[in-house]
This record gives sequence, C-alpha cells and structure tokens, in this order.
Amino acid sequence: MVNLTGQNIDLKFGPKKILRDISLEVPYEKISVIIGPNGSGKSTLLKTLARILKPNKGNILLDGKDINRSSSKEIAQKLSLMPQSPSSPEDITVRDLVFFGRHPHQGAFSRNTKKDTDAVERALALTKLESLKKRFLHQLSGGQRQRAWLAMALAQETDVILLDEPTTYLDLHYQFEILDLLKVLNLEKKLTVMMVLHDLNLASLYGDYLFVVNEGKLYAEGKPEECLSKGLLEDVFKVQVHETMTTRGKPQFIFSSNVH
Amino acid sequence: MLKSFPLTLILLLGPLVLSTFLSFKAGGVEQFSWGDIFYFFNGQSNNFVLSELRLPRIVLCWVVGPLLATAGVLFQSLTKNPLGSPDILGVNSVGSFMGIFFILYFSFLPSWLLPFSVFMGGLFCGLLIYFLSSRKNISSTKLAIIGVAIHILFSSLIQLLISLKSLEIQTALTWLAGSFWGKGMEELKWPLLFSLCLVVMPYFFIKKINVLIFDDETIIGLGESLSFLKFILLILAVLCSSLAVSLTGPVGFVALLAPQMARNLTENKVQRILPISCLISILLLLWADGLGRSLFSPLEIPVGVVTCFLGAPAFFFILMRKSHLEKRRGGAW
Repeated sequence: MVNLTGQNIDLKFGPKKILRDISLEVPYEKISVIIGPNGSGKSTLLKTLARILKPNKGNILLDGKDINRSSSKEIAQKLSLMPQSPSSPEDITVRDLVFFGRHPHQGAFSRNTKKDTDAVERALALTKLESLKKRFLHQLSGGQRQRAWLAMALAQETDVILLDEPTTYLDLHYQFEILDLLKVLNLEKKLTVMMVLHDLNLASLYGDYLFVVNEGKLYAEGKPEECLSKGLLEDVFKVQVHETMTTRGKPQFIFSSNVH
Repeated sequence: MLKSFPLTLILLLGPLVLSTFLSFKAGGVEQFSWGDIFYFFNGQSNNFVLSELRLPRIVLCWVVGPLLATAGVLFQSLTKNPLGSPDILGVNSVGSFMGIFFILYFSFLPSWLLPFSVFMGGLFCGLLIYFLSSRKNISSTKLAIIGVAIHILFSSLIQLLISLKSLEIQTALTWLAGSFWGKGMEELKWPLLFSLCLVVMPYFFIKKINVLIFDDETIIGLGESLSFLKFILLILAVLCSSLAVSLTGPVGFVALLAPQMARNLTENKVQRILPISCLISILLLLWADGLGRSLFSPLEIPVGVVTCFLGAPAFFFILMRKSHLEKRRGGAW
C-alpha cells in the first residue's frame, strides 16, 4: 500500500505565495481530482506532490518517507507523472517512448529484460497502441500522442500516477477516452490516480474524491456529491450555475452566460 | 536515409582509413608516393617529414576529432538545442581567451599548464550557462543568444590582449586560428591518453544522456536527479572542448556539424550518435587539414580557417533541409 500525503505545504515563487498551508491525503486506490480556477495553484500543488517543485515549508510523504529527501529513482518506481503537454522529442517511436517508462527500474548498463518488455507490451495494450507502436510520435494525432505519454507512465508500473490536465487540447471524444482508460485502470489495476482537470463536469463524473483549490488554499474536499454545490461554484469559479442535475449520482452543471 | 548502425560504421571506416593515408601525401614541398608511405609504415624507411611532421598532425586529427564530436553531442543534449555546441555557446571563446592570456603573459610557465588555463575559462563559461539554463524561463534560443554575446565579448577581449602585446603574437595568432602545426609525437602522448579517457566517459552515462531528450518534468518523473546529471555532463563536455582547444586552438564548426551529420546517418540514440559523430569529426579534420596544406602549398592555411569555410555552407544546408522536413511534418523545430 502506497500512501501519498502532504503536510502543511507552503510554496512561494519569489515573494508571491502560491500554496498556503495545504495538507491533504491522496485517497488510496481511488481517482481524485484537483479543481480550481486559473492561477489557484492546482497545477503547482500537483507538481509539488510529484517533487517537481520543492515546498518552502511542509513535507510530502510517500509511504511515510519525505519525497524531497529520498532518491528520485526510488520514488519513480512507486509514483509516475504525466506532465501537461510534454514536448515530444523528434524521431522517437511510440515503442521507444514507452520503454523510457522502464528507466527507473534499470541500472546504468542493464539491457531491456523480459520484465521490461512485458511491462511495455502491457502498457501498449492497455492504451490500445499496439498497432501504432512502430509509428513516430510526430505522426500521431493529439489523442494518440496523449495515450502514448500515458503508456510511458503506465510502463513505469507504479501504484500512484499523477496527471497534470491529461485532457488538455483534446477533442471531447478523446477526453472521455483517456478518462475512461484511467477509470478502467483504477478499477482493474487498483491504480491510485490523482489529476488536475479543468472541466468541472468531467471532474465530478470521474473523480471519486475532489480537492477544490482556491487562492493557494484547500477550499474544500470530499466526494463530488458532497462537495460540489451551486454556491461553491459561484463563489470559487465566479460562474452562474443555470441548472444542476445528477448523472449516476454525480452532480452535473449547466452554466449560464452573464450577457443575454 | 541510412539507419543501419553497423553499415554506417563500415561505410565511414573505409573513407576514414583511406583519408588517413591520403593525408600523408597532402601538401608540403616534398612529394611522397604511395610506396614511400607503405615503406614508412613497414618500418623500412624513417623519413623525417613523415614521422615528425605528418604523423603527429594526423594523430592530432584522431585525437581532437572525437573530443570535438563528444563535446558537441553532450552540449547539444544538455541544451536540447541543435545549435548548442562549444563554439556557439562561447565555451571555446572564453577558453581561447584564457589560452591566449597564458601564451602571452605566462609563457615562462611549463606549457602543459595551458590546458588547465583553457579549462578554467571553459568551465567558467559552462557554469554560467548551467546556472542560466537551470533558472526558469530560459529557452534554448535565449541560451544560444547569450552564448553568441559571450563569444563576441571574449573575441574582442582577445583582440585587446593581442594589441597590448605584439611580440609573441605569431605563436598566439597561429594557435588562435586553430592550427595542427608544430606538434611533436612526444607532446601528444599524454593528451592522447587523456582524451581517450574523456571520449569513453559518456558511455557510462548513456541511459541518462538519452533521457535528456525530454523536458525537465518528465526527466524528474523518470527518477533522474536533474541538477546532478546536468552538472556531471557539463564538466565532461567542457573538459572535452577545452582539451581540444588547448591542443589546436578553437577549430570551429566541427563540434556543431559532426553530431548533426551523425543524426542524419543513424538512429537518434546517444550510443549510436557518439561513435558515428566521432568518426565523422576525424574525417572532417583530416580533410580540412589536408586541404589546408595542399591548396596553397607550400603555404599552409590553418585547419580552423578551412573548417569555417567548409562548415558554414554545410551548416546552412543542414538548417534548410531540417526546416523543410519540419514543415512537411508540421512540428516546430
């Protein structure tokens, strides 16, 4: 069981406080989603949990160990990260990309073992990329490319995966495709998923647990049906909620324009 | 395009061996036939020109070539920029400045201290680039521009040094133009050994260098300690380029071109690109030096001048072809 928790995290960019005293526990074997308006610090929070950014105060513990004091390689064996729109290197095939996911499990000179190849094949199968594995990354569509990056993170075979807006720049169909895939992985492989999403309805639909971040603070947390309300959305996101309904027990919202 | 690694190696080794022997014949007052060269290698004749003048500079090509190529590959990986070579980043200029400074003001010191002087200069510039690039919001383009600025600044400082001190100017100028002239075999023993170690070193970090194709977040996500990795490779790259500069002065374009050409000839993996670019680099130097000696024989053009004349158009060609490919592919370079 791999546990990821943050304790009293403070983070500054220069004099500006981005995160203020955030404590959270990422629910084990669940899908949790960080939501919040632009500039609220939601992406920063995810990056801090992934040790990309170092907090000025507070600790992030993975299995009880401070991630900023442990070996990066050991963490990468338990926790993987899919950054937001990573820049794709030129001339790399999907299969080669996914093999990089095995990097934290390999020594300086070790060649790819059967275990590595199996993990890569599994990741390719899960993301339905088998038929595209010999293609170059730049030949893929946006949705396929996103799946390739996800496959790389999956090949890392970690218990926890962090994703920074995995649906950015994707058409609606591909957004559902990638979130469905994460849902399946969560249900079948018991993967703990923590991600930042922009779309509140998607967050509500797919998240088992939500963290609402506003102005660097943890504004609210809980199951979507408990924590998402008309009032919260109007307070935090400054939008007019026209109608609230429930799909499969999850709240969904229709927003209205301020101009008519 | 050729992508088979063994085939590329073989296709390069052929011309390389041929060019090495051809290089014994190039230029100079005294003409040699293939027979003379054959007898020389058989140990049947001991020609002074061949053994004391030609042999050292051909060995020098084989020493400096891999150093330049390795420095180029490492700097390009570190800066994620195809233009990131020691000449463009200014590493060579600061190194040369320190070299000239040593030649002009510290000529009473033993000459084996020259490489240290060059290394200190290169390291200074390398660290500067390292700290700038580890800060946020420094793009590769900005980095290249900073490098160009450093290059211009130190080129003018070199001019200043030279105008202040006009007596020992000839040695300094020859060195500065990038010259293979005036080295004996005895002097080459230690550099040869040292450069062999340096050129082999990156192979211990192959996996880590390969990961550098990603952006920083992905690299950390894959479990690398970014600052440590960058630091080690930077030191290695500066050592390679400094040793090359201290042996021959700044030889331009080779460190930039050889890795580029290698990328076109083989898979984009460091373990393939390193050896291929080393061979290409030797080949470029052999031809540049050979042409430099034969074009206006018995006068000699320094190898650095030849590489710049050949390198600039070749570089433009690669740039054009590259942007053409990118346009077709629809990605940004």
